[in-house]
Formats: sequence, structure tokens, C-alpha cells
Amino acid sequence: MDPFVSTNKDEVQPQPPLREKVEKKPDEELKSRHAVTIRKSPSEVYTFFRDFKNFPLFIQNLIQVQVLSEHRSHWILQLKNEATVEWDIEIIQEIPDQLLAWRSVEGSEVETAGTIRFEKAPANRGTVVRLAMDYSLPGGKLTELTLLFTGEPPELVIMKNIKRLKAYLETGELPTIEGQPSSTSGSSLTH
Amino acid sequence: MRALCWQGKHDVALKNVKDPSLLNMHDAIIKVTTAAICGSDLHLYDGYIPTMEKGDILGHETMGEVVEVGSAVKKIKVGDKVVIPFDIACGSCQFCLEQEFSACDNTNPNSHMADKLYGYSGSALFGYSHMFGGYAGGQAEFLRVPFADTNSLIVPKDISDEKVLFLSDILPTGYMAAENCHIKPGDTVAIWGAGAVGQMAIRSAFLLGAERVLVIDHYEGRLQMAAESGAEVIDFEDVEGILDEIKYRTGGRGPDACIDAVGMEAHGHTVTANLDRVKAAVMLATDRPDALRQAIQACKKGGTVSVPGVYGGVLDKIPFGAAFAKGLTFKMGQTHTQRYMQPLLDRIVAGELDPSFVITHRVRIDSGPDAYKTFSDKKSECIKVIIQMH
Repeated sequence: MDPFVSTNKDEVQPQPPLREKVEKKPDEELKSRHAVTIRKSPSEVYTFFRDFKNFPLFIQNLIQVQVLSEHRSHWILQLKNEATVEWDIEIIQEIPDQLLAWRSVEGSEVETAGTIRFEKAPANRGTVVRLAMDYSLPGGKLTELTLLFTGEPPELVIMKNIKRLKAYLETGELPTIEGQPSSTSGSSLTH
Repeated sequence: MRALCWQGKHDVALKNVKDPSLLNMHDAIIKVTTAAICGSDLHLYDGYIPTMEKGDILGHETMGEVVEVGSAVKKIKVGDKVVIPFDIACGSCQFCLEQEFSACDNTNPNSHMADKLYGYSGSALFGYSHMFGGYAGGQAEFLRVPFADTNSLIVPKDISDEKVLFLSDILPTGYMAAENCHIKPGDTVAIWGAGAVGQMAIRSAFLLGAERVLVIDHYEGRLQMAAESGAEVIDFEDVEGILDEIKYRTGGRGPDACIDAVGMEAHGHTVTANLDRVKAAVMLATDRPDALRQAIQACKKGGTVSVPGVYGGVLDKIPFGAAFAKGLTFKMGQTHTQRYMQPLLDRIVAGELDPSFVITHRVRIDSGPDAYKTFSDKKSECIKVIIQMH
């Protein structure tokens, strides 16, 4: 959706710089970086985040996170076609109220690794949460999977879920219009 | 229930839809008693706002009686008479705490769309396209109000709907537009557009101490109403050069502040206005900003341009050099309605303000679709339509 992209045919389109196209491998690592400021203390945000059982409260289609041990958890995601995808992650670094780093356990169908940092925002404006993650999958599977279950690219899904985390922590609920009346059934743009 | 639904460009229909229900714990449901059609609804009617979907319920100027509240609603109770602001705020984010409610972070489930277009999304709006959340609007028999404690103003039961309905949008919008002018004693404020927001801005500007208010429009009925509020009116069709006329009338200094209460569908006959019309028709531009251009040109050195008129996209040929050369200040944006509702209600109750003067048409819900057409086609005599919903 980008309705205001210029459609002026007279405009000269900028030429891309002359360089050879880099061939992208399907299993290439992707680096994803996002930041959000949440009006809660670092300790509150960290405590909520560290309890992975909370994740289904704000991540769409995440059915369950089973905490297997202090450092290991099992994640189950619902796909559109009623199938599920499951994987294990382990915490590899942990500094209370400041940092969490994880990676998926070797052999997982879904491979992810990343860090999330919690930092006090200036003037009591809450906590800056910074996420940096790689998702690297044989055959680009996560990209395929996210497209399959949401019709959206993974970056958009990550960003939406970060916003949902913020909304949940700040207001106690997630904004929604699902189930509201309209003179046509359903709505294609909203979830 | 029955609701006025957007079916496409120039197509609003009264439809039977299911009743709204509580979807979140901070929601309330109100039985709508009176709603209004806003000038900005005509931007939807004319197809200027993207991401409308067939079947969307319209309306963002609404009031009624609370009939159901969610488990986390604390302030409002079943039976309360409430006015609902057009912008939906969570009441908890940093922006809401700073009373910048229309910049709320947490109410728009489609904020990624507006992020892409604007850098950051503002709050969701009732009945104003999916980019702004897709929330069903209040031109319906019932309305779901999210974060009901933040997004409702309890009003006395013995006051008529007509006196308080406009606290939902046009009164706070006209007032904030005037407040943004930082009016000082002796100031002249020029207002483009004598529609309902312009009318509210005139009275607000006088209330805030303006010495003179000039109003520019070309609809006889609207100019007459402006004159009745004490404004000096200029029909831009009648004058040779509108900028020269304004300069002359302000002693060669220019207005201290200019308010663009027209927005994206200006009607001028200047060369740029005609170009805008052609470009918009063939989708080469998104907005027709001729009122804004004039406001920038007319404004005095160091003055303020205040923009309550709605703009959506990328504007063409804005005289930014003039704005720079004169050191203008720009103030604009969706109104932080919740900030103004209680103090303006107090003024209404005290008898200092009665915004109902702007109502020209009163219809029942069955005539809603016709009212859109009348409002769109007969701008001279049709200034504000209110709809009785039950």
C-alpha cells in the first residue's frame, strides 16, 4: 500500500548506480533491526519479556511457548493452513533489565538468532527496546512461512509485533477492529 | 442496526449491519442519538482518501447514551450521555500523557500503513479509512468506542444534543486552529474557508482576543454566516487580486495569522488551482492546495499559518520560498480533541459559546445518503448537517 508514490510520468526516474547485481542466495542471512520506546521501566519490560510464556499475548499466530528449562524454550506457530511450525531456542546471554541474546537450537527447522537490549529512555520516557536479529533458513523457509500465514513479508510481521508489544504493555490490550460491523462481510486489510 | 456505509466514490448507502459488540476490555457501546456529517467526510465521498473499503461505516462526529461498558472501563457508566471525539486515543502512551491525543501511538492497528506514508502514524480515527485504523464510524445507530474512558466526554443530560455535538470535532478543531495563531491584542486573523470549521475558528479567534477576522470564501450563504459572527468577508470571485485585497485591508502589513480551513479540495480559479484540478483528475497530484498557497503568500512577516484543513499526500508548488523569506511559523494537524472538550463544554454550559448556530440541515437517518449529496452539491446554503439516529 503506497498510494502517494509519485505517478508523474514526466519525472525522470533516478538511475540505479552502475554495479553488478548481487545474486541473493535463498538461504542468505537477513539482518533485522528495530527499535521502539515503551512507557514502562526497563525492569518491567525485561521481566515481561523474559517470561516467554507471555509472547503469545502479543505475537500473532504464536500458539504457545513452552519453557523447557531456564535457558531453553519450545515455540509453536500456527500457519494459515492449520499446520504448525515448531522450534527450540536457547538463551545464550542474559543481563537482567539490560540484555537477552538467543539462538535457535541446532537442527531446528526455523533458525533465528538475535539480541534484544533494554535501555532507560531519557527523562523518564520509558524504555528503549532494540531488537537485532538474523533469521537464516534453508531455502528461505521463514520468509515463505510468514508469507504463507500472514501474506506479509517477515520484516513487516516483526515490526507489527513490536508495535503490538508496546500497545499491550502500555494499555493492557491490542488495538483491533476484528469483529466490528460493516456492510460487506470481512475486511481484507486488517487483522 | 442501520448505518451509513461508504460503497464507493459518491456512493453512500443506508445499510442493515450487525450491531457492534465489545471487542476489548476498555471498550464501550453507545446508542447514538445524533451524528453530523463533516466537511472532511466529503473528502471520503469524493474519493480523495485512499484505503477506504466498500462497506465501511462512516462518521466521526457522534454522541449518544452509553449502553454497555467493558470490564476495564472505570469512568463512564451505562446511561451516561456522552460526546465522542473523532480521534481515538489510548490515554496511556507518552503522547496521550502530553495531551497530544491525535498523535497516540497505540490505537491504529494499521499504523504500518501510515508509517510508510508519513514516517510515523498518528492515532486512529473513527470512520476515516483503513490507513487510520478502519474503525467503524458513528453515523450508525450504535457505536463501539475503544478506550472509552479517554474517548468520551460526559455531558449534562438536560443540555440539547445540538449544543454539545460539535465538541466531537469542529468546535475543538476551529478552536485549536485559532489557539495555534497565538493571537495578541490588535491582531488580525484571516481565515480561508467559511465552512463549519471556519465558522468555529471565527468565533474562537474573537474569543481569544482577535481585533479583526477576515474570511475568504465564494459561497454567499457561508460568507453571510461569517459576517453574522462579526467577520469581515471577502468573496474571492468579486475581487481582482485576493492577495492585493488582503494587503490593502490590513494596512499593507498582512494578517498576523492565516488559517487554512479549506484543505485538500480548494476551489480557486487561479492558474495553480486549475492546474491542481487537472493533475488531481489524472492522479498526478493528491491534493489541491490553493487556499494554503494564498495563506502563505498573504501572511505578514513573522506571522503564523495555522492549518486545520485536511491534507493527505504530496502537495505541488507550495511557495516555500515565501514562507522562508518571511520567517513564517506553521502549526497544523489533527485536533487533540480530548484536550479541548471539557474546557469548551464549560464555556457552553456557562453560556459563552453556542456552536449550534452553524446547523443548516436536520435530517433523519433514512435521509442520510441524500444529505451527503446535498452537502456536496449545495455548499452555499448547506453548511452543517446533523442526523437524528433514533
